[in-house]
Amino acid sequence: MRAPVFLCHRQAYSQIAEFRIAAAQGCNKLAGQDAVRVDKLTDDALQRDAEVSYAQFRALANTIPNLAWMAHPDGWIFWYNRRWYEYTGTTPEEMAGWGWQSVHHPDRLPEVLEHWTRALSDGKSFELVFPLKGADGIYRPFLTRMEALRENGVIVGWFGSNTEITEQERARERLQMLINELNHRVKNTLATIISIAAHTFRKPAGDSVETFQKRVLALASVHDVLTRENWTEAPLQDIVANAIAHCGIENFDVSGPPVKLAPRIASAMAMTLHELCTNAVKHGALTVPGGRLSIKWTVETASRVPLLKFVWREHGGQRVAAPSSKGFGLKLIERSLASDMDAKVDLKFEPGGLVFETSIPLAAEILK
Amino acid sequence: MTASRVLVVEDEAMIAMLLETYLEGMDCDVVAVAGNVQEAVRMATQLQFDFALLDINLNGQKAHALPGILLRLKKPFAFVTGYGEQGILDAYATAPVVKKPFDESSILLAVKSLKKACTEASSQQTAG
Repeated sequence: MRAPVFLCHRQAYSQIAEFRIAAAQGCNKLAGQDAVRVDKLTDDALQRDAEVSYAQFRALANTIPNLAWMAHPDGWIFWYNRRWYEYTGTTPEEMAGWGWQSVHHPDRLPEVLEHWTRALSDGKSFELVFPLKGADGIYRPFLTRMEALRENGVIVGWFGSNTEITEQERARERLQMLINELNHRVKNTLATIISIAAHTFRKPAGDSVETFQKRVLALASVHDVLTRENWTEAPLQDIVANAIAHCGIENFDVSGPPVKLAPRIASAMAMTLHELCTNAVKHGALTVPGGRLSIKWTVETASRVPLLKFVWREHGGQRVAAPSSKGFGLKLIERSLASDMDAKVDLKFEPGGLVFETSIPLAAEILK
Repeated sequence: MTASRVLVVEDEAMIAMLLETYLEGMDCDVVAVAGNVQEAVRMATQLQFDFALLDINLNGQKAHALPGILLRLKKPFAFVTGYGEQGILDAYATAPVVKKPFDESSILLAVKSLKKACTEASSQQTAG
């Protein structure tokens, strides 16, 4: 079977030589089909010139980070590159022929065998991801490709490679997890906005629409702070500054050490501060000239879990009485901090103005 | 007919508040709101209630044990869930599912079916 191929090359060479001579003699006969033919013949010749030696091939095959192998037409693997033996910790004797099955996961082996035998019978190349056992006994995912080499339409061998895709699989899983988490958050945020709407418009007042918009904006502003910090934490001082920005910061005395809050505490604090500000502008210290607000916080580290002690105190405002029924704002303050965060919440309507105190355990919250 | 007693398992305060508001209008008393898995398990096993509304993803923690606990206690429940919980929903396919975000009518639909389940369970008990 080799002879005709060889003959073909010899013919090609001699014809190229003829054409070269013709060209050198200044003949201008090379046109049309002849030109195409000489191009083809030159390609064939060059290809032959470029054929690599076995030593060169082996050097290349042993350099690549992939596992690679060659098999006879019947599927008998007769050669693996060095990386295969390094990864699997096996020997050529163990691997010869169909020995590769020993490094496959028993659960996945039937599927692999099915693909392999089907490829051998129909001659079609295939791609499959399956685990291979390393020398350390750990299975890692590999993307495997195998292709047939054909000469004159007849399969003369199979070539395959296995590429480790542990990192890609991990990245894919991480991405999927993030997408799921994002979906979860989007749905929750939409449900939260519906809740804000339902509560704000339940007893419609003249400024309900404005109240609603401001509540949604407060929710959005904490997202800004959290996005800036990669959704890991938010500085309390930023949350406070954001919340009081619309109420005239000159009316506030703010003091406290730098504290970073986990996303959920940050959200609850932002919504709480928004409701407190709204209340102060509508009913509290900011309804009268000279009314002042102090915001102070400290962190107690004596306990096992650090405690954030946060105090909002209004001075010089109107005398306020506790409302007869709890509005959305008050409920929100109590609920979001107290039930979500295990925080203690105390809201007092003192003669000098409203006092809001909370202590929040700053347990480490991990973004899952 | 007396009001149904409902256990709400939901970690987002504002969503829990919305559920409470809706449930009040549906002749239901919210006996408690659980915001995390431990609290939910404790409340489910210790409190008196007729049925439960369950969010499964509680601040990243999954309350996957809860449906089984409620099943053993013979308490009907519905899922109120956002996304990515298909596995658990399939495992308890008879429980009503309310997808977040929700409106009043979808909660009403679930509550009606839970009330019916409660009535059926109690009449079976009387018969047995």
